[in-house]
Amino acid sequence: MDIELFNAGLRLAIPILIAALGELVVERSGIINISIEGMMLIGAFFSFWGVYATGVPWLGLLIGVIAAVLMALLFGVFTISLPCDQIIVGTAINLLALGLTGSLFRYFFGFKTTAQLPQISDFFFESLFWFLPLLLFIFINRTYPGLALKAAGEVPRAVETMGRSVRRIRFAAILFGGVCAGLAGAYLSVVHANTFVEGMTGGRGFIALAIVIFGRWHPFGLLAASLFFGCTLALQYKIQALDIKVPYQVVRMLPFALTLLVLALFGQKRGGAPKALGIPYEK
Amino acid sequence: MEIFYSLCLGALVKLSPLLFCSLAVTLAFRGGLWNIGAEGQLIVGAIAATVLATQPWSLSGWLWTPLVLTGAVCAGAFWGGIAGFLKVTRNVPEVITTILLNFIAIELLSYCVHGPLQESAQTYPMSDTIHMNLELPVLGQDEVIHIGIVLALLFSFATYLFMFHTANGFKVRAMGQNDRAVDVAGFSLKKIRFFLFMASGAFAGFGGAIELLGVSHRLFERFSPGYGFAAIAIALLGRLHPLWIIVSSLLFAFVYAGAGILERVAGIPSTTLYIAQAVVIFIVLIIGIKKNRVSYGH
Repeated sequence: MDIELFNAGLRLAIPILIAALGELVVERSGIINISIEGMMLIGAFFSFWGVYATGVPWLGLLIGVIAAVLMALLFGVFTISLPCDQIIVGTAINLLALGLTGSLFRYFFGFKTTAQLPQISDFFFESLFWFLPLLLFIFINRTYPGLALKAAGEVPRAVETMGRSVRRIRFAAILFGGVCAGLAGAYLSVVHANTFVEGMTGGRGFIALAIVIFGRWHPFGLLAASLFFGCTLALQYKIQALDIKVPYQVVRMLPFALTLLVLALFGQKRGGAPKALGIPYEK
Repeated sequence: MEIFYSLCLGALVKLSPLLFCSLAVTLAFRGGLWNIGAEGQLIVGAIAATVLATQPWSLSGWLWTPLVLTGAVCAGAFWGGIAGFLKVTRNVPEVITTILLNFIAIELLSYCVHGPLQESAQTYPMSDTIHMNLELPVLGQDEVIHIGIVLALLFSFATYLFMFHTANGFKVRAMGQNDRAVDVAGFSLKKIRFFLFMASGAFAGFGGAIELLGVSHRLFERFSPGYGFAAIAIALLGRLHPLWIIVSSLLFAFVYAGAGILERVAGIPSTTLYIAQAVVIFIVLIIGIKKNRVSYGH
């Protein structure tokens, strides 16, 4: 295996995996959050803006994560406290994030920015990439709160019988998903691209959603799936660099076509999805 | 007064693509299918229509126009059908597939207008104009109100009749409320879901062709400024009722036309439109909390 290719693939896989791990926890609790794309975008913009305004990279990162968590809070209020349909709320948040980041970006920076940011080393994100799946695996399978999380997504009534609040568990999971999406977005703008571009997440949040299915709701499955995806993406950049005559639109289309193909081949036929996924819990 | 007049005209023009997409969304949502892909279905419909409409044939418009519309309907139905097929055979959530298909359609459109469908002059990334015979007839002296708007209204009414006055329409609504009941009654959920997805895609594809023949007359990259996404907010605001969505489409058509004017006059960025759509969805959700407790899908 080409080590250079693997490194490029890893850099592409990092934001997808971090976002997907957040979604894994959310889905394990029985909620489907299709707005990680939007939350990533919010994280990307606000961390960029934070670093730009404060000049302190870690503070900017924190601002981005907080902004994404606020979006998750909004999602939680609508899907759990009210509760409304998760798909519709997710769609609305995606639109809100697209509009909010686009408008704020144009307001502060015009259409383009050449602002260069102080670099954050990707050591933090790389270690997150390798250790977060392990930590989540231990949390979900070997701890009591992890068991409660799993149960909330499988048999919510049993959790309630045990004296735990399904809503509280789900709300916590959603907020954790927000933190992850915010970090993933921040990685894109502050570490990877070192700038912000409108709509820069470019569907990565949706690919992360697909990876949760592809990785069968298992942290290590997600790790493998995201690496597979990252390397395939890197391969495409390499094809482009080799000057093979492929229209750039086809190259941009491929990750989505690949995701679709993977879903078609490894669809949910054999299960693995939490049984109460997407069903609001009502006492 | 002049601005108001041009606002009204602009809104009427926007009504047709918005209404067709909202019909697509309404149909799918009513059956408990989360078709987020009206945008992509509209785009492939428009691409297919452009392919057929820029051929060097010498056909009469009466023969050619139905051909173009049929092509667009098939393309839209095919695009929706992919999501439907994956849903019923592989149990892949349609939310994800339709969103992915949107991305693919947008890139496909970009490829087409830069490549095989680019104008013969090869200057700008847009297609040739469609053949003269294919331009939809216009009404009134301003020559912007085309017959497609009337068609959109007729289709809304037809969808209303289908949904509330036919057995198949009842099946669709029943599936959205309680799919087990439909299953137990002996109907094939897979079959209904698959056909519903095709029908939904067909509506959006048809809307794409009408927009091409009636307004833009040629294909370019930003052919759809998010009609398919706005349609979700419109359909929900219209309570998924084929007649009420005429009203909500009109409202959004005014917002679209107004946003265009505001951007020109006051420099307010068009991205605020997305915020407006999100806010509308949130307001509808808050107003309808009691109703939403019984969710459409499950």
